[in-house]
Amino acid sequence: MAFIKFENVSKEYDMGALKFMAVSDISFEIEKGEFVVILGPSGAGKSTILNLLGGMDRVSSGSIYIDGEDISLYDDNRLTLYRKYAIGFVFQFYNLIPTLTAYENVAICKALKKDALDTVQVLTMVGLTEHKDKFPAQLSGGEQQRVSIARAVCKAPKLLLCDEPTGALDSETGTRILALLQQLSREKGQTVIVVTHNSQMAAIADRIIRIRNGKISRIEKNDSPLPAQEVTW
Amino acid sequence: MLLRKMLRDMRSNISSFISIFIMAILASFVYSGINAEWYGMKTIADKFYDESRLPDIWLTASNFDDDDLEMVKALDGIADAELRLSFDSPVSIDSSDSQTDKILRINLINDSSNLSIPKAVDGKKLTPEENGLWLDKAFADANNLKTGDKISLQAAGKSFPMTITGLILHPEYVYKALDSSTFMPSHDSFGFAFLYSSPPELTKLGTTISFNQMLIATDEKANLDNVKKKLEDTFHDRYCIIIDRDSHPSVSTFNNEIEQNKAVGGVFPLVFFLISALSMFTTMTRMTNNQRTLIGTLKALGFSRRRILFHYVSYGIWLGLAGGLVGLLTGPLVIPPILFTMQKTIYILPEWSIAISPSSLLIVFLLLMSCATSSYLACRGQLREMPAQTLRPKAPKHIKHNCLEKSKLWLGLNFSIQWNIRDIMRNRIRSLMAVIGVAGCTALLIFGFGLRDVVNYVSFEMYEEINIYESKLNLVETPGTEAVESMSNSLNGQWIMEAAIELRNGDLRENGTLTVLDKGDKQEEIRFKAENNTTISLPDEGTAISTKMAKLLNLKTGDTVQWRLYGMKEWKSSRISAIYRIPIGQGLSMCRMEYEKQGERFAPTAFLTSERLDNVTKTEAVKSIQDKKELMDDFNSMLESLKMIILILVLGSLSLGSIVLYNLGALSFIEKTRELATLRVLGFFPKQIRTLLQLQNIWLTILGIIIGIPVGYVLVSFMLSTMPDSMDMAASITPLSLFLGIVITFLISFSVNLILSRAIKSINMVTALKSVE
Repeated sequence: MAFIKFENVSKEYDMGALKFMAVSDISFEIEKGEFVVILGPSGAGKSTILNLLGGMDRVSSGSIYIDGEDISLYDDNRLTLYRKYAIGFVFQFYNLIPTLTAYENVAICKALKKDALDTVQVLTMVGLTEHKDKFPAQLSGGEQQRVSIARAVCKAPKLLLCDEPTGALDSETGTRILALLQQLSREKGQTVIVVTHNSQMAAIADRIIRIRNGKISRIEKNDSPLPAQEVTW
Repeated sequence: MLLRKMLRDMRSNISSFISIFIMAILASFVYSGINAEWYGMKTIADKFYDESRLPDIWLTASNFDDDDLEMVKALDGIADAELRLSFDSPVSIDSSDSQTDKILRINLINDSSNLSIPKAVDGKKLTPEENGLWLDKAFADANNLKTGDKISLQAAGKSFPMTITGLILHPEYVYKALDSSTFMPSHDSFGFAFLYSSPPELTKLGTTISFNQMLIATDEKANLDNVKKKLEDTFHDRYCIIIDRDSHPSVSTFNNEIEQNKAVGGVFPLVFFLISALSMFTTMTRMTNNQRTLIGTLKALGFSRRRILFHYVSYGIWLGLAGGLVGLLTGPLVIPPILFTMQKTIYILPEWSIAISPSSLLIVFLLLMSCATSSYLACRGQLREMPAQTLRPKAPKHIKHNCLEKSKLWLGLNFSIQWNIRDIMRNRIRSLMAVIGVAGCTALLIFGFGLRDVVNYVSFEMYEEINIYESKLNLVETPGTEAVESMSNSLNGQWIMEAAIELRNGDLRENGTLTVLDKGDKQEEIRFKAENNTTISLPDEGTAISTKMAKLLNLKTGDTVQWRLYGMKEWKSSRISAIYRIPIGQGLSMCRMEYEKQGERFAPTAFLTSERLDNVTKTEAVKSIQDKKELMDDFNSMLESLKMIILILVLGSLSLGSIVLYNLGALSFIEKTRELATLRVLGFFPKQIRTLLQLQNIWLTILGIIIGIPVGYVLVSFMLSTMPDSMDMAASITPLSLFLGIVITFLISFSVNLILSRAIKSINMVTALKSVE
């Protein structure tokens, strides 16, 4: 079985009188170590897929298999454990704790997971050793996003889930962040899923899942993805 | 339009604004409530003194005649003077009962009496045409007597039946106590009565009436000290006591009470006052921060800086004004009735009503000003910037590493501890506010329970440790030698002499009590306590002085104190050989031998005994019998009335603690929604987040309690320092009160945490994905 498998997943939001189908009957597979981009305009259902993948919401019907386990059957407690151990989350707006330094923000993982990677090592990997004692407010957007990535990677998650990771950054900085994510996938075999509306990102992905109106419009496999640095945005 | 914005802003920050509002109400409620109570009492007493023409000076001597009166009237500065005979008489309210321990202070007045006029509240008006006696209303009520009933005065072994013509109140008996050793008035056993000296039946009481008091009203412009000096000169050659209003027992005790209430009413609202101003500051800081872009927009629209500033300051003005007014309207309605029930057991006034003093209005103004100033200080910074700057998001606050973080220790700390320390450092004022609030809560609780402890301990000291006798038989003024001897023979006990004295050391002068003790038959019926709570025996040589008196006169063991009986000319000197503590009744105590060595005659005023008095028939020599149990009951009745005050204090501290802590928790929760949602996404369990949030609450609670305990002690000591000089109460707070204060504060903290933790479940993780507002 594939590493990640969506099987006839539907998600319906009950908004009082109105029922809204955010995603309906979608199925796809993702292999371990792939760099995947889920692409679609706003309102297409990307966020729903992200929420479902991230264990922040439950399906209305269908199943989601992660490494052989059906997370759609999980209760709140198991979902928290799932987020804790299996998921590394990179936010569009970084979401660092403003009162903690870069180092401490990453070290949170140690509080969550005993076998988390060494904080300094991870910070070195994202290139932030010099700034480790600075507070988020003292860092640039790109640096903050690196901290956010470090925090996610530190847990050695099964799945690195990125929500518009370059959405709040200028293109140059964005490129560097994407290069970092790509590098993680290439060198460490990290499964990375990036959710974005930026179609140019498709060029660097191993697999592209295009979403439109709550359905999958196309799944492409890219055998020769470009390095992030070579794409112009 | 901006007014509407303000109301909406308030609605969206409802919990903060409500807590400011409540604190402002409480500050004004407590202040104006206590203020209305004492100011009302003072106003009524002053009116009573005025209407009844309370004298300015009382002279007491063994005999005054008309010549004396004319002499005094001729002095400068005297507006009016008259003579009166005042003496204590046993009285039986049932004609068949010749045994009585009730005492009436009988006042015989002239037909033309125009000073210190009793106020008739039932029966006939006071007029020389009516025969009979006008009786103390409280005494009558306590003994179920009505106008028209008969009572019998006991004098010289005979019984004189009298009819009650009317019931009266009197300005000299607003507070009445038989002597300085009783603190709570006992209406049932001690009262007063007024009679005209002319009715023929009175001649039966004694052959001639010799007046022993002169009441003097001075001219309004006259200097009281000058008049007193002149009176002293006039009567320099005889035993004569001069008392002015300030040293009159009733007037001064009542004035002390007023002062005490004034002091308490001034101190207690402080904490609420402080919290309302601090909450205003933190809330407005947060709000103007959030409305930064809005402020920029308003500026860009052309609103002047002053107009915007006034808009935000007006939040404080409205809240302070509204809270202050609500407190001003409710406090005087709620608090005085509760305090009056306690005061009524001690003082007798013609009526009990409240009066609003101008200072209550002032507190509303002060509240308004402090809230307005807080909001001004909070938003001043925001407004200083240029519109273009304010339209951009605020430059992040620079956070410095504190010294703790530089140490190695920091790295070893748990994430939640690091998070909370930083959070406290970042919100110093808010944390300070929480600590003050919790400290105030603990302090008020300890104060409330401590008050009860103090009263309990005084009762314990007075009646279990010091006065160990069972009964005190008060003698009439001149008991026959035979009667005294027969008592000595039939009972085991101890003779004592109690007298009012003046004491001095250099320029320092005080009034006090002298207690001279004979040897006890079986045991000493009065024990003396050293400051360290050990029992000491009265020294054979020299005198013992009470701790407070020694302090007031700046004396220590080995020094010499000068004293004289009230009205005597000659000063005696005694060496101080011991210091003892006594809660009520400061002065000197010495043994009979020492007293007689001074050339004085030991004239016992009471007999103390620990024996049962069941089959002892009362002799003529005994004026009254005070049972210890009765004394204790009287005293403990004060505890009953304290309960309401304790309840008010507990309620006040509960609301203080819970509002402050809830506000702290709610604010940090609202501000951190995004952080908390992120933590949830990262895989933190709700329980972990709860611990994270509660840690700070618990720390600040503990810190507040640690500060609150000594503050509670200080409050109790402060309260005791407002007590009159004759009292020396120990700030004895029992471990139980301390424990209750701490536990209740923790319970508040705990329940607030419980309420707040419900909100954690409502954290929506998707919030973390949304953009920063």
